[in-house]
Amino acid sequence: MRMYKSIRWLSKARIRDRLNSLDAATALRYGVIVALFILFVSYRLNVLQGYVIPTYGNTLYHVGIERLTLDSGHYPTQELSYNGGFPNFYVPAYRLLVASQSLFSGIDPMVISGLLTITLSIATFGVIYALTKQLAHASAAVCALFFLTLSPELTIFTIRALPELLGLFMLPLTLFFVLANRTSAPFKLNGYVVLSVIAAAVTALTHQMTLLTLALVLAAYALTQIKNKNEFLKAFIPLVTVMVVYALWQVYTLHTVSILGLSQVKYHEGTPVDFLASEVRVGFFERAGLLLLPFAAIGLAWLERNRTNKRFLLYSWIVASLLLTKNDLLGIGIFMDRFLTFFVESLIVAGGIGAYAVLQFLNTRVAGAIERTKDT
Amino acid sequence: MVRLALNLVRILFLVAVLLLTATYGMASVQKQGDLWLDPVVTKGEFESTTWIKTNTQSTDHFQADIFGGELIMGMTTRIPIVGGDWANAPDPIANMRDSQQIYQTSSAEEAHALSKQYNLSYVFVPLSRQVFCGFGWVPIDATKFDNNDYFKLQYSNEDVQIYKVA
Repeated sequence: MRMYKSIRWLSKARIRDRLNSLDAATALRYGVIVALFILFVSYRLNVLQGYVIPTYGNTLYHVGIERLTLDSGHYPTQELSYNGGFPNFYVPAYRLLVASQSLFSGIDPMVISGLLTITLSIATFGVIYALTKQLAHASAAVCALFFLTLSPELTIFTIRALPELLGLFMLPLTLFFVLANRTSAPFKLNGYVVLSVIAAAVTALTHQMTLLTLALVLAAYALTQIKNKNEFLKAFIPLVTVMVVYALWQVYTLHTVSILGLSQVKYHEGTPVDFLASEVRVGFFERAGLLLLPFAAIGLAWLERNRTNKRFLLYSWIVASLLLTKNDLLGIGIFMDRFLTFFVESLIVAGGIGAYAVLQFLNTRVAGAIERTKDT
Repeated sequence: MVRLALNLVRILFLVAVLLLTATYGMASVQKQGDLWLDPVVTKGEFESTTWIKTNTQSTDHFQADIFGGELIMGMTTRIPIVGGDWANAPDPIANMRDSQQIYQTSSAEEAHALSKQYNLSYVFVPLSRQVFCGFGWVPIDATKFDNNDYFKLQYSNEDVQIYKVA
């Protein structure tokens, strides 16, 4: 019922009513969204500008598996990489999405990869808006879109045909379904629980680093809600889903749940992240932008002041992704720079809320003071 | 009237701040983003994949660097010595080392022996760029591939030559 209500605005009469009742602030908000959307999409069109899609990040390797899936009619169990002849370990969701779109449209999988890059980046734009709005306010969501559009890190991972791009959409989408489920105790198996389970399962089969981030976020959030069985289960059920689905996949492909034998683990693939870049380190401020951190701090302070229960999900996202980004400090040292993307994504949401808090402050204090001065 | 003017000032201030930040921000985004949009492989290399698809067996293995190998994989599903996912590969470091050695050695005999060791049917030789086999960008010593006792030229354009391993 709640889901029905949330999509009811799609009816023509509702749209007409909304247009008729637009105030200046809402009109400005829509204007900014449109401007940011144009800016965001225009840069992402670059993925299709050349004779081949951008190749950094093994993009054409994924195209190879998609092409082989189309040619053979099934997802390959053996690798094409590194002289082939060993089991294909990579999770299949993104590749099957590309292969299926290619099959239905008849367009080459490389071109479809480029088109899906644009589509998925737009979907990420949408989900960041929806999640931030769910956490705070529509204006905070617009501010988050501003940080998203101007984020070097999120740009780097939304302009190329990568499974991680689907992950950058699926992670906040799963969190959105957890947040949007506002039913009070006792716990009910409603549409949002089903959607969060489906989203978690898809995430588990999309990208290993995304699934690890999602699992840690859900685990941290479940821990913060340990005394509230209803909220605890809303996070715990997708958490179990993500773990079980991935474990089943790995047992199917590698016949083990251990990841210690993987090259990424053995050879510690990844670059450490520091505040500033160097030859051997990725710079946080170069990748996140200078403004994001201070605004994210303001956003967290605003959330803490308003004390809604939802804030714990964002806190969990920030803490979990920060922990993974700095996993070298824990002696693990794998993919620190890749987990940074999810940390920056969480800060974009917090930064949007922070910018909204600043605008609210300016509006109530500064503009109010000007008006009071005029009155006297 | 005063309220309208005040609102207009607020909106104009907001728009000005947004425009200034967006201009600065987009410059930073482009600076970082453009680096990742590089296709690396050349147009001639891309065009050669049509020949590969038509004239080689689906089971053929290729000597290539990571970018060339992924291009071959992506467009033809042929199998390169390096490139793709190394997670579960038996000894990916050895593949990287030997792939680089095939490109860099001046000895046709050594390059041929290594190619045979990895069951490689073809050698993909980019002419307009250096190669990256996993240990940095290095130049190719291409003259050895002209030794007909070991390698036979099958395809050539301005950017790439493809040899069959004898």
